[in-house]
Amino acid sequence: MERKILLQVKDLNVQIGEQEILSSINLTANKGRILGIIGESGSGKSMLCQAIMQSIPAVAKSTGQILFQNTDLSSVTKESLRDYRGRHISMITQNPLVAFDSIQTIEMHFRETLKAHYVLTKKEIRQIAISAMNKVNLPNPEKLLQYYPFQLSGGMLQRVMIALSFAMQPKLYIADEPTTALDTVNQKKILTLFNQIRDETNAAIILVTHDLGVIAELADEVAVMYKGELIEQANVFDFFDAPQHWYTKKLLQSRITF
Amino acid sequence: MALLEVTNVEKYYHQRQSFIQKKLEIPVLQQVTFSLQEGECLGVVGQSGSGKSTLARIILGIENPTSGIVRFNNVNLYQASSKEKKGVRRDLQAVFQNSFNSFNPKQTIAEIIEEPLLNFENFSKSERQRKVEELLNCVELENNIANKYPSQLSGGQQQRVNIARAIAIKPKLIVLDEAISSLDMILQKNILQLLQSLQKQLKLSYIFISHDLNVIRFISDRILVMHKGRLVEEINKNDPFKHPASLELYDAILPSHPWDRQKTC
Repeated sequence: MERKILLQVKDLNVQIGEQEILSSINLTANKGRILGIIGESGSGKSMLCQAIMQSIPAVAKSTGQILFQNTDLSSVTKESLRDYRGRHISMITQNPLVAFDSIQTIEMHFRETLKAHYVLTKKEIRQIAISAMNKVNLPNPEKLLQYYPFQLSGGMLQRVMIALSFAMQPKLYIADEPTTALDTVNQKKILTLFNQIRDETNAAIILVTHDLGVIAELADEVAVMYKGELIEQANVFDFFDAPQHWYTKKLLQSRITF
Repeated sequence: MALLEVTNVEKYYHQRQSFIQKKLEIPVLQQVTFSLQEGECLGVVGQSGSGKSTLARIILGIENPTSGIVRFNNVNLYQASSKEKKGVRRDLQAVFQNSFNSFNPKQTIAEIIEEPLLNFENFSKSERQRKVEELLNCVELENNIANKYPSQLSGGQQQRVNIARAIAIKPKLIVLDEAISSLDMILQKNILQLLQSLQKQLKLSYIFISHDLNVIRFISDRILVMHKGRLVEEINKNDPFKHPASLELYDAILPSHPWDRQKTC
């Protein structure tokens, strides 16, 4: 597979007041590859995702470059940023129930998302939604469209969220702890789905997690975050076989084995 | 004699689609029977919606079963006098998944851990203070945490406070419902090891509920597998699984090294 750089993070710093949340982060995501970012809670994983999406909290200040296909997202106008968000870069969050609007049906969510970027009729949107939901193995998509988010289980809703992203055919998926709120059986299904999407669309996926199992299952490259810094970056096999940093070693020891 | 005996417990929820229709009975637990010996750690594993948490709530007396008997320490929980119930509550404690929700945010950590002592013991203020320090020590927390509020603690610290509160009055059984599921890996292992050493020290029994078979196999002596409200398998720690629902859970265990990836599709 041809390796092409899709996203480059250069010297990213994020500060809230005097506190450094992220310091000098350098990171590359390639097309068709899954980049796993692992770290404990509070290590800045989610802030990094938000910084890539240019949606850090208003109190935070960031410096550095986010190069997406050689365009620096941190210096484009708000209007052109809208083009990137959702359409080229899509975010999948941890808690699906919070990410959805509980008084809108699933169909309305598809409508809102697709209409933000394309001019489409209701019928076309319906078709796109149904084929995207088929893609993620959701049973009976026609019926699901009429449902409200709270009527679906966490695993199903997470798949709806992935279908919503998938419908936009983004080049980069940022999945921030996508399976943490799910049980292990659903987790496995979602991870298999990401693998399938990567193989078929050659998209880049940034997969944020605190679970080494998820990394072992899916990632091609691994970046380890600790207290706002990227302390190690390696190929997934090197990461498991030859960890360099003491924290990575500690992390690997925390695996539950028999 | 078994510490806890659950016999034929069933639980139905009622749902009415519209007011002219008859009430629908939705089974959540069906014919659940098992027992727990003193000093044992019993793991309960199953997918979301399999009835694990309902079972926990019934054992804890938060919910009543539709039918069936739960005997703790030879006391039938649902026919007990209030005096007997008080004894049961003392011996039966719980730790839930969302640590923050199980605290009163206006109380300091010391007040939170003191609460069961106030209810069950006649300690003086200085005795309580000493006891709180001892308990914090026991769960490997610093003493200066005592005057902080729950919101100032990390998830792992909060869960340790929960455990400290649960062991404050020396219970016999602690029900841990997804107690470590929201923690990151290093903390998970820390808490598991802490639970194991406390179990030995204080001769505790656990009912450890989780959807993660890996964690369950690590801590439990015996494993119950739940599926759609039924107990489908009961095995010892190292025995192989047979039921399809158990095997599904087994297959979903993530590899510990990329070499072990299963070929998908």
